[in-house]
Amino acid sequence: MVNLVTSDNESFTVEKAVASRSVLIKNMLEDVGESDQPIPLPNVTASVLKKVLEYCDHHKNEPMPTSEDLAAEDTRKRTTDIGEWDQKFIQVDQEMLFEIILAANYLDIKPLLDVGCKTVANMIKGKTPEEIRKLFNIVNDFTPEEEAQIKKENEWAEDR
Amino acid sequence: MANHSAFSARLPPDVLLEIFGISQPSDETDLFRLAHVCQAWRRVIHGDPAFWSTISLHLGKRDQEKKASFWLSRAGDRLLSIKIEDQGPYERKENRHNEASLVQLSILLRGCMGRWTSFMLSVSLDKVEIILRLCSGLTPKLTKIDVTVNPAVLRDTGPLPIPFFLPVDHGVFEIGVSAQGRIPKFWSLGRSITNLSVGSCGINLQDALELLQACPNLVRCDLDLDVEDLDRHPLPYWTSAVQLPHLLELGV
Repeated sequence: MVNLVTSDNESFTVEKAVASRSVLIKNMLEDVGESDQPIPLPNVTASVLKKVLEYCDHHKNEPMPTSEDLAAEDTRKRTTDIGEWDQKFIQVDQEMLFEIILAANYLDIKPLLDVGCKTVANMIKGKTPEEIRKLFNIVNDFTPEEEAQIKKENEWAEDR
Repeated sequence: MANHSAFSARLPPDVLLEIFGISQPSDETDLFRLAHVCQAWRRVIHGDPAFWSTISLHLGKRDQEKKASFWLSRAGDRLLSIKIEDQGPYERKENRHNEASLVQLSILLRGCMGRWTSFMLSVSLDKVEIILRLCSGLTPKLTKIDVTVNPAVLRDTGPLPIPFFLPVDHGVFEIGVSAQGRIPKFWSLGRSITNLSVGSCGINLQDALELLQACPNLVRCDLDLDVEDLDRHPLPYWTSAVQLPHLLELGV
């Protein structure tokens, strides 16, 4: 078993197979060898880690993506399809969605990062910049000069 | 209340890039839509050459040479896919301006011919001639050529020179060519053409035979040719047989 300690000082004891879905933790375990030392995760809170471990537990028996798989996978040709279980898993509020993405990125859990990114990609699909800003509460921080340049770029994309 | 912007703004550029990559901006409208959300998103999109390696130009629109320059400045040293279309004839009063723009555009594109992987041209004959006269040079990475003269030329005006060349020491590789409206003429590039599709009216049979002779490594060939009256254009006595030893499919 592996003991993980979150940024808010909560401990989670999980199977090695579950924790090792994270390449970061897997490498740490390989580095320290057999040890009872807890692994600190200063960038992940307990609520997020709980969710991440739920994902890792569900997928613990699946083969880990190899570096060849990752190299062969061209991001720009990937689909936005998400498996049924993953879809239900990722039905969380926006705050949690971004926290899961950040945690998956930090913990190096590529399949979970994919699920999070695909979910956001699906959310922004077909939306105007204004709709996207509204959806994610993003501030339009362009200067008037940049707005003028953007207008020009839009003319290239628009029909005659 | 949770401030969502705090979270979306915290996404590192590589994660944003992942999301944009999955979103698959299929055209520039899509690309600009994402780039116009905020500065952070714009920086990520404008900073990744992969989004700018397909240059799609419509000669009926304004400032296409500026657009090409804008794309090229962001594409870095990426391989390029060039697509030039014309949605209609020039407006007469703009003819001069457009011709000057077309020359500028062609010179700009000539500067990056070494990185072309795909070249698609679907424009009227006068524009095809201007572009191909200026875009002449080595194209060692080119694997796909699609030239459509629009509308098709109905009488024999001779073959259309495609002045793309391979370096002398360049090995033979697979190039697919589609030429519609005029029969193309190739030089050193011909030996690397494996797939050829040509559709043309009123051609001289000798031009067709010369095209096949220039492409000895053809594997697939589809010819939809309306040959001019052989009585008016008899084959010269020196016409030799065309040998295509690798040919697997032939459609005539």
